[in-house]
Amino acid sequence: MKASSVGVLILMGSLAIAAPVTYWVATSDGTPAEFVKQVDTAFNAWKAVPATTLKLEKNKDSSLQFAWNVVAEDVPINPDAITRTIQTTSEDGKTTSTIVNVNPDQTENLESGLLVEAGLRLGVQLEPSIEGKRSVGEVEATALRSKFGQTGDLNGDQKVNLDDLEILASNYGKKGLPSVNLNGDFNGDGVVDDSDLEIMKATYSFEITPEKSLTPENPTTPTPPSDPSTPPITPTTPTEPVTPPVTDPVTPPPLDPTTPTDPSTPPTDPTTPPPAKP
Amino acid sequence: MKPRVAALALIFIFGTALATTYTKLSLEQQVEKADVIVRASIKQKTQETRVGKIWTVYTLNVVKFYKGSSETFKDSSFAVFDSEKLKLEGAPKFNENDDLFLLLYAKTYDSPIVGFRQGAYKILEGEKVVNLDNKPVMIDTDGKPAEATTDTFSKQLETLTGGAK
Repeated sequence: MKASSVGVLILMGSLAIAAPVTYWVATSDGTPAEFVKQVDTAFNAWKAVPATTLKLEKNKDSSLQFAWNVVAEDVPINPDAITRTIQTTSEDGKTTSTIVNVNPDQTENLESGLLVEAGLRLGVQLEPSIEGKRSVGEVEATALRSKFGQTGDLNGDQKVNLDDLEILASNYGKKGLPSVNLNGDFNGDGVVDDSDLEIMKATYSFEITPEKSLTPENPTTPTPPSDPSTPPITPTTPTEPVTPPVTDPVTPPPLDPTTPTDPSTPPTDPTTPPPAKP
Repeated sequence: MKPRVAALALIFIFGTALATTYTKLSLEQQVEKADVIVRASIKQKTQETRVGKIWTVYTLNVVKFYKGSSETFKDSSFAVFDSEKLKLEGAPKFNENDDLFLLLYAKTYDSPIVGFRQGAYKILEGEKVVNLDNKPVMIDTDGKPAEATTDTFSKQLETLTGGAK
């Protein structure tokens, strides 16, 4: 893969991190007080899926609106529907807005209905017929990750670099339930291992801040990866002037703070699995 | 386990694109709720404006009534609140000449199909009965679940409605 392609991938990852999904809960006379909370709970259940970059934002101008209204558009909801979704396209065909109405006669299944509806709105395609209580299981979580999969950014600074690798290393080998947020368990299989390292590798960048920049005699050569099959890495923001120096310009930070690395050692290559901690 | 989860996840991602959620109903529940149950084919599909709203109207050639009659279902048609500019997500959609079993409400709703879209069954090649997601419909035949044929499904409807009309 060319360096430019890697750069594009990194950029895509950054964009995925940056864009929150917006929604709004419209209320009117007759809307139960707890309705807003119920919709929020449904979205937050998806947001709680570990190892995703999903961000939610409530915005009254959002094109996704939830409303407690059985006769929206003056058309009654089918009595067996729990939520009813109508998508309207503007006259010029350029924009669409979505309104999700709730059937007040189906409150028994509303929690599950809203959970599924929120998942559908997030792009996870789910069985829309509701039988009993629904929850976000392993399969649904995996489906969400395919859309909002974590890029390796473990500290949330929208970069995937040595700082993130350090976090992954500190959790390497740790096991937990897939539903538990285990930092570094990108694929959500309940263990931080080589497969998670591979995911990080896809977006890892050897960051070069101005302070870290190499001399003009050797201006653009980041540390080469030890694995010849590893694609070249493109720095994400090599010339960003406002980035403060994260580390000593010539000394990369040690992988494990308790075990200082030789200053001459180059930044750790993400292709090499970090040692499991006891 | 992981490959299985990944495969299932792919189904979830690339499966049928539907929104609008509804309570799952058994065939027995659907029959009980329906005002009209027919075997019919779609004679005509049109877009009509009713009270300022665009509806997709389906006119039927009714072959047989299992519930209701030609007197209670006079115009032999039903309308779904779904159009090009205003999409009812997950709405049942049909084409002309579709051969169907339909369980319908008499009142006007966004979708008059019982169970939103559950009470509509397509008959493929005059024999096999599938739901609107093209999945075979299973019914009890001699105490065992079996894929429904036109005959067995028809008999099941007769049984559930209290006998042949």
